[in-house]
Amino acid sequence: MAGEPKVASGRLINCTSCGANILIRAQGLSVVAVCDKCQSELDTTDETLRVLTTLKQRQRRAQVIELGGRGRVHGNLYECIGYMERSDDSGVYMWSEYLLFNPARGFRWLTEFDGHWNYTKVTKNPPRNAESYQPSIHYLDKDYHLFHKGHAKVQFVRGEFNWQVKVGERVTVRDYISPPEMLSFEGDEKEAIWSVSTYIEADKIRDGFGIKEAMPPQTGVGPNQPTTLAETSSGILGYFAMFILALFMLQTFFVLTADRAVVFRTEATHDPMDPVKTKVTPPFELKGYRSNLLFDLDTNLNNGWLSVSADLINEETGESLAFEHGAETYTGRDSDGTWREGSRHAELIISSVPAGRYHINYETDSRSGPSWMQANSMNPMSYGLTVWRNVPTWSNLLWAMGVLTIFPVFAWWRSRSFEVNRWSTSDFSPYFSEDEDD
Amino acid sequence: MKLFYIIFGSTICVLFLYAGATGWSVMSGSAATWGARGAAGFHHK
Repeated sequence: MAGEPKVASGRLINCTSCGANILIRAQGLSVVAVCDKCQSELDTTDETLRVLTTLKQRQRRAQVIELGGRGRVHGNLYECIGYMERSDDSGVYMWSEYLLFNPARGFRWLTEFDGHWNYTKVTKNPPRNAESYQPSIHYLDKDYHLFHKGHAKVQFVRGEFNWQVKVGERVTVRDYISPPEMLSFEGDEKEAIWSVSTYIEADKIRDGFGIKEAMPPQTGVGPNQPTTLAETSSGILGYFAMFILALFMLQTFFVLTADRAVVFRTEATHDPMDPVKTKVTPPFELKGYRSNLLFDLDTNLNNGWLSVSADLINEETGESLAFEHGAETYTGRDSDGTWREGSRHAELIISSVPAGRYHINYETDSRSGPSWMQANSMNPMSYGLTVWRNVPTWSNLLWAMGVLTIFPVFAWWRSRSFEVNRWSTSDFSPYFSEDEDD
Repeated sequence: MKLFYIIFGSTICVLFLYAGATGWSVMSGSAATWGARGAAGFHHK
């Protein structure tokens, strides 16, 4: 590509300890180089390439980008010149760090932990209050939250480096996250370094460097792994509010325009001792298109029940609709005082009844059922039956709201689960209290 | 997921409008279906 900064071509040197060839790629910028053959660490700033130390080390992780491997990160070409493995104090948690170099852009890092990759650049503009141990830091218009605090220890090195790296070298580290970015502090008595990392998908590393081997398997959620789940959740919440508003507006319209017309009303007495006799209402007219009917049963029940079995019959089409309706109420007294259950009043909605001429055939009953119930239902009782046309109902609204709530709750749960998972490896999780850990 | 919810929510609103306009109710006593006269229940008239 014309005009693009090239990666270094390098200078070949010989190990002063074993004579093996070592290619110095960041010539003039590298400070040390490690001989792959004898593990001698050479001072590349010294003309005699003096041996600083002979490293006693063992590689424990899979190095997927070889030294000299070239690839693109965010469109820029880099060459891998150094590889390092570091761990926490326990040595249990280890991660890989690849030192990248481009003569025009300088040094960058690629770090990999649990299959999650970060592209890291040392910043010359550290955050203010850099020395304080705050739970969060405001840096370049973003809030970074403390995710990890501990130590990092060098376990293994290969290639060349722009500082005098030593196996066993231990620094204090603090990581603050604001996905997809992470602000990291590394320091010891001598110096403090701040770097900004950006999460990068493993696929992009694999494609950018043409890696043929299997990439390290990804587990869990990366500390600064970005997600669109929170955005989706809040977006869905916005639409949820919009739909609820629409439903309430429609419901208000239905309530305001409901006829609430009484199409039939009767007052009668039910005598349980009479033989069952079907009663027939006079015909009544249901006007308009389709609408609901409300059957309102009002009784003077006391410790008993009354059921109504009815057929709603369309006189024009001969179609009928059978339904049961009933009221029951019981009272008594126990150690807590007087109690009462049920109601003397009952309502029943029949959906979407077409317009037409109708009558109702119905029977009343209070004798069926177990004997203890019959004993309470043998007295004559008066009742009123009223049929209303086009009354407003609220059940549709409640159901619609319930159904519409499922998705926002699910989206919120997914988003929260992702964040809980992200913070599960942190000692500073806002989702776990110390009490819960006990 | 967002697009699906927009379609889903819009459908619910349209169904709610239809139900309200035709007097259909989720919680109603019309569990029995309409039938020919006498097909359900009793037929004394």
